[in-house]
Amino acid sequence: MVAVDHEIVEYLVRRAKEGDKEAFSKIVRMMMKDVVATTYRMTQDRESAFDLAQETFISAWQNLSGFRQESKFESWLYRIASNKTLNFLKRRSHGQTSSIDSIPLSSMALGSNSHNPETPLHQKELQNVILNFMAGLPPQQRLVFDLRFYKGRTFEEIAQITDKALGTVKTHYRQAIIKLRAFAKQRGWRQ
Amino acid sequence: MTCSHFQEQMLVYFGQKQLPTDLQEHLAECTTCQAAWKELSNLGDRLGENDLFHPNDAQVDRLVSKISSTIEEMEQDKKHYVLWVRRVWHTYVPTAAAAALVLGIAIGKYMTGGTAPDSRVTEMAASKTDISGLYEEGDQELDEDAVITLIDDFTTQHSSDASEWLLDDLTEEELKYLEKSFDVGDLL
Repeated sequence: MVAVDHEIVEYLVRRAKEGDKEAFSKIVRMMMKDVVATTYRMTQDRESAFDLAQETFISAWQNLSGFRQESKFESWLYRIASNKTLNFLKRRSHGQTSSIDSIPLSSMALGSNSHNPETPLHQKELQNVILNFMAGLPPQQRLVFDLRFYKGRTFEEIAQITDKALGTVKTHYRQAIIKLRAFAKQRGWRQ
Repeated sequence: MTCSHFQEQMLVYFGQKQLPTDLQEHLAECTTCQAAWKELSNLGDRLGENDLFHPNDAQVDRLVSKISSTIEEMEQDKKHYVLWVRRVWHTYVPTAAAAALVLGIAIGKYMTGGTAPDSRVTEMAASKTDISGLYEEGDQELDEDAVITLIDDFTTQHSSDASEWLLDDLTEEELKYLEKSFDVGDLL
């Protein structure tokens, strides 16, 4: 995870709220990689991940005046990203866009990496495996797993981001880990 | 703490370096759970880091620039909208306000009973003039068609109350003449 200095972010957010577009651009640059990483793992598709990240930041700019700085800006941003991504997945599962289930997982992950030729082959394979695993999780579990495991968010923060009860969030995570263990067993990781 | 409780709880702490004290205490004493926790931790190592999914710098540059230009366009649109609102405000709002004021005064007068009786009197006065005009010079008889037309026109303009106003307007003498010469029920 990219280390983000919260004081700098707070300062930039204050400036951006006053209409400073440059300050907002700096925030975008600081947080873009992390947001894309989440939207990518959630959607399994790099182009959709880029689009969702863009929509997230534009929406953040439009609604910045409503952000009261009582919570962390990152949590607020992830809340926007999560809502957009979950809506996207819902639309996709209803057939408005291509269904994730209709895409062979192996080709999906490798194909999505074609945009990033700098990624070494072993990393591509690892990405492929992780995307395979995450594709097997329902969207809410996938999101909780992502925010907890990859983003290191506390369950309280995740509950705030996803607007779910703390117990529900923990249950989602536990279920995701049970599936992960089954997935690992299937691949012979536990031997 | 039992082993099954530990192994259920450890799932929630997957990916974390530190376990809560009660779990740590059980872990220190239980070799079975130590093995289970180690296996789970190794699984975490297999999943790689968040930055494995980061876009490269060129992709970030492209995205940042796209977002900046979209925001710039949105701000321009907002400026145009504000200018448009300002123009409308300066041009149309004073006119609308004046119209609303006039309408407000008229309604106010009507509601407080100032205007309606006046206009009724005016209408009645006008109708009297019209009826007087129905007599041709030197002629003591009314023209029947002219009276019917007059009553029709008046009724169309002033609804059902019109006939009453018209009758109020007639003198005793005119009324008697009408009753004698016409079927007043049909006329009204």
